[in-house]
Formats: sequence, structure tokens, C-alpha cells
Amino acid sequence: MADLEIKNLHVSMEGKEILKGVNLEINKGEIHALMGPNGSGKTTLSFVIMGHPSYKIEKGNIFFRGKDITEMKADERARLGLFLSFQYPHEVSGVTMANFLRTAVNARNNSKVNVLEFKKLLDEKMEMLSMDKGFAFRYLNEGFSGGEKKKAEILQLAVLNPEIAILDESDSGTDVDSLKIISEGINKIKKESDIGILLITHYNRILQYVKPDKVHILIDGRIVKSGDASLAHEIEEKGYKVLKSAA
Amino acid sequence: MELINENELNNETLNVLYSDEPNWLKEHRTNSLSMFKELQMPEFKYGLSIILNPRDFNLDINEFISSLKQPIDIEIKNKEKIEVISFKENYGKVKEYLNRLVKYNENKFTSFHNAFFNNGLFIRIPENTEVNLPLIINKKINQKYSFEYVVIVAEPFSKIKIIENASSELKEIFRSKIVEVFIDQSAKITYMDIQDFNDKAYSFNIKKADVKRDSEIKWIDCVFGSHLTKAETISELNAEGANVQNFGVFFGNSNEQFDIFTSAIHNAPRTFSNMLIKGVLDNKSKAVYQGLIHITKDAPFSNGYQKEDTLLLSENAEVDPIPKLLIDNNNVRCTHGATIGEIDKEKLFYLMSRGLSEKQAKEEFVKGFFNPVVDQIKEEKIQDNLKKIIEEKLRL
Repeated sequence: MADLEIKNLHVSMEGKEILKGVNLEINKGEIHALMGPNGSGKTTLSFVIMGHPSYKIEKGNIFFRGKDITEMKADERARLGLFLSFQYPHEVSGVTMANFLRTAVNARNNSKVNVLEFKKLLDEKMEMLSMDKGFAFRYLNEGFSGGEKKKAEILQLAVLNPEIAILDESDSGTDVDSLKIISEGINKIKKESDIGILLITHYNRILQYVKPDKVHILIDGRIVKSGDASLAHEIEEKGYKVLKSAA
Repeated sequence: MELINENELNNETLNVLYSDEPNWLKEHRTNSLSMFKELQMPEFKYGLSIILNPRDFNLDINEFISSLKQPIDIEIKNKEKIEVISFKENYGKVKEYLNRLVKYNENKFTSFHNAFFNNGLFIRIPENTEVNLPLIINKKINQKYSFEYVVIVAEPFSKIKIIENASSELKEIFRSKIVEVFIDQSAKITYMDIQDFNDKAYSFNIKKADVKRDSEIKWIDCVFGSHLTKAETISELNAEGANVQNFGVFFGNSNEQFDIFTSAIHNAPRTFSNMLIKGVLDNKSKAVYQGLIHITKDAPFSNGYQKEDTLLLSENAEVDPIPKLLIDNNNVRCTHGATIGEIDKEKLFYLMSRGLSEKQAKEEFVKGFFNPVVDQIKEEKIQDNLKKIIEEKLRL
């Protein structure tokens, strides 16, 4: 069984069916890209894997290392080793990045990390992402630019060290410099801890830096095609239209 | 509503308690007691909004007398460079300040207080004295009744931070406190008032400052618990350049009820006031918060700002924020705003997706919400203590 396995997943929100039978398997060490036009259900899929309470699972299951996590709360999934980098990270006023991350690390490991050790870890990861040290003392995402927010998400990924990470449009809202730093960061994290990644993206751009093992195309709530990296190029050239007719 | 059964209180009670005091003070107490009998109990009702319903407090005369005979337990730290004495040590010194700002006949509670106050503290910061370590006043109120009077005199160009911490092991207490602060030219006072009683306590608290030329009072009021709290913080900006920074937090849980009033009265040109009050209410707790900035006709070129934010953690919690501006001069700048919110479910999911339980995530929000006020105090120990109180309240 794969580390993360999604079986025949049907999901609705407020009576509207969004995912119509998604199947997906991701193992540690693999990079999967999930592409698809706006409104195809990419973000819904990422939220449902992470346990967002607003969605209703009509049918199907999500397994993490053989364990059925379909009904689990988000925090339990996180502690098992799932991570979601948000497309639109939320601002939390009054909570500094450093304090929040330390609380999160403690929750994830169910132990208390030594303050100095944690500071060392945080500094090291911030340096990896070319982030100014001052970020640690700023309130979580408050007043961050688009690129800073996305970098901060990758910083959280690096510090929390999950087994499987879903990265929802880590490339959107970033300029070319930030995109490079983010991509390099993802590659380093992948190399160091061999995590599995589901990279959700709209464009090909990030895939030039982060090379996927597999590419899946989600259209209208279904994965209509899966293939290797060349599928992404095909989409770039021909667009989703070709596949839409196939769906 | 009776609230306090007062029939058994009379001049004889005063005699038993305070017969050895100077005559002027005895007279003051007698006048206050007759005023107390005369005045009506205020109604805890505000327009069409929420009504606070305090339970009646059963006053047992023997218990009343015995607890007033026993002064509360006070620990004072870092008083080396200043004068800190109890009223008893020098009544003459206190006399000229007593009742200058908060009058005995203002309402039923001030008259009650002036008749019976049994803990008096006089603090004087001499001219040109800057005290770096904060003056810490730790009060353990383990008597059923306590009436505390504090007079603070800041002489010109003095500077100090005063942190008062009051808590109680007892469940049902009746606590009344009046603080009068006199701040002379270019002096700078921070007064932090932390009150952490349990949900059976009654707390009446009035603080008032006379702020002179180019001087500053910074209030940091922390109301963390009581069955009923009635708290007023009033700053009179009486000379050019006077400045008040009025910060406050309140946190109610179970059936706790708060009636909080803060005001800045601008009586002179180029005076400045800034109020920021942040409240969290959980379960069935209720709060009425009134903020008033009054700019009189004698206060041109003044600035006044007030903001009050409340976070409701339960559907049954209620708040009524009433921000008021009274402006009698056109040449001023004044703004106010109030917000009431709940914890955003999407943000809660965001924090939980990082491994924090729902409780932990809420804790982060609440601490973050209070942070702009808690950050005002730089002492790490005090900050940690506040965070601990907040965490404990969240676990109720």
C-alpha cells in the first residue's frame, strides 16, 4: 500500500459535488504534480486530504500508511506526518512566527523542543530560504507580501518535517526570485528527508525547477490523465482543451 | 436589588474598627457612611442593551468586622528609591490628597469605600527620581472584605512603573479599591493593575489620575475574573502636553460579569489620549464596556483615539461596547472604533493543519489577540505570568 492513498473520493460542499471519484497514490520520495484548470477541484482535494471540516465526503477513503484517516481531524493528520502548504496562507495577528512554529513542532513531535535547539533549527531553515531573521519575530503572515507568505509556508514545511506534503500553488503570487528560492528550498527538503510531495500548480513554471516523477490532470473533479513529466509539456503546448473533450 | 444588605452597618461599626484614628478621618468616615445609606444602589442596566445581574452579597456583620481588622497580605518589591508607607504611618501626609480626585459621594460604592477603607498605601516618587526596576505590589486578599486605598504622588521629572497584582484564595470576596494618582510636570507613570479573582468575587475598582504639564500616565488594566467587576479608569489631562495611554484587557468565563468604563478628559490644549481595550468572553460571561473621550472647549489641538475589540468564544457570551466622543472644540482630532468578532474557522483550520489541537489553536488566537496590550509591559516575568493566567482561564 502507498504511503498516501486516495480511493474513489467523492466530495461535496453545500450540496454541490466537487470531486467525483478521485484515485491517487503517493509514496515517500516521490514528487507528483497535480494540474488542472480553475475550478477543477485541486484546492478542494488538498483541503480534504488535510481534513478541512467544511467539506462532506460522500464516498471513498483516504489512507495514510494503511490507516484510514478519512474521519480524522486536521491536527491528528498533521501529527501523523501530513502537511499542507496553503494557496492563501492566513494572517494570525499577535502570534509570532517563532513562537507559533515552536508550539507546532512540539505538537507534531509530542515533546518539548529545547529553546536554543529550536532557534538553531529555525535560523538554519530561514537561511536556506534567504529569509531575513526578523521574520521569526513578525506576526504570522501579517503584512507579508505574496512571495513572503509562500516562503513562510515552505519554512513551516522545512521545520515541521512531514512525511507527505501537499503544496497548493506554492508558485502563485511570487516573483521570479522568490519562485527560485522556493523551488530550491523544496528540492533541498526533498533531498534531506525524502518526503513525498503533491505539487498543485496552474502553470509549468515551477516544474522547470522541481522535477515531478508523475503528472496528473484534474478536470471537473476527476483525474482524467496521468503520466510522466512530459505530460506537463503537452498541456503547456496544447492546453487543457484536448483533455477536456476526452473527459 | 439590594446587592449589599446594609442595615447592620452603623456608626457603632465604625467605632469598633477605627476609634484610634484622627478626628478628621473619623468625621470623613461618618459622613461617608451616612451618604452610603442615603444613596441608591446603581442599576446595572444600560439603555436597551444587556443587563448585568449580580447576586446579592450577604453581609455578615461579625465577619465584616473581623476581616476589616485584619489587613491584607501585601508584598512590596523594589521600593528603595521611593517613599512607600501605609496611611497609618502618617495620616497627615495623606490628608491633602485623599478624596481630591475620587469623591466619597460620587456613588454608593465610593461612599461605602470611604466609610470603611482599611488598607491604605501612600507612594511618593521624589522629584527627578527615575526608578528602573518596577515597583511590585503583590496583594493576597484572603479576607472576605477588603477596602484598599492607594495614593500615588509623582513629583516633577520622576519616572516609575508600578505593577499591582491582586489575587485571592477565597471564593466569595468583596473587594473595593480606589487609586488616586497625581502626576506633576514631565513625570511619567505606568500603572499596571492585574486582577485575577475567581468567579464568585465582587470587585469595585476606581482609578483616577490628575495629569499635569507634559506628563504621562500609562494604564494597563487586566481584569481576569470575578462574579461582578465594576471598574473605572479616568484620566484628567489638566495641563498642556498631558498624555494618557490607556490599555486594557478583560477575559470573562463561566458566568462572570464586567462593567468597565475608561475615560480621558481633555481640559487643556495639546493633550493626547489613546485607548486600546481588548476583551475575550467565553461561556456565559457578559461585559459592558464604555469608553469616553471628552475634549472640552479649553483643549484645542488635542488628539484622542479609542479602539475596543472583543472576541467572543461562545454563542452565549455577550458584549456591549459603547465608545463615546464628546467634543466641545472644533480644533481637535479624534477617532473611535469598536469591533466584535469570533475566531475565524478558516484560520482555526490553518493552525490545526500544523498539528495544534483545537484548544491549542484557540489559545494561540486568544494570546495573539491580547498581545498588543500584553506587549506594553516589557518585564518578561510579568508577561509570562499573564500568559499563564490566560492559559488557565482558557482551560476552565
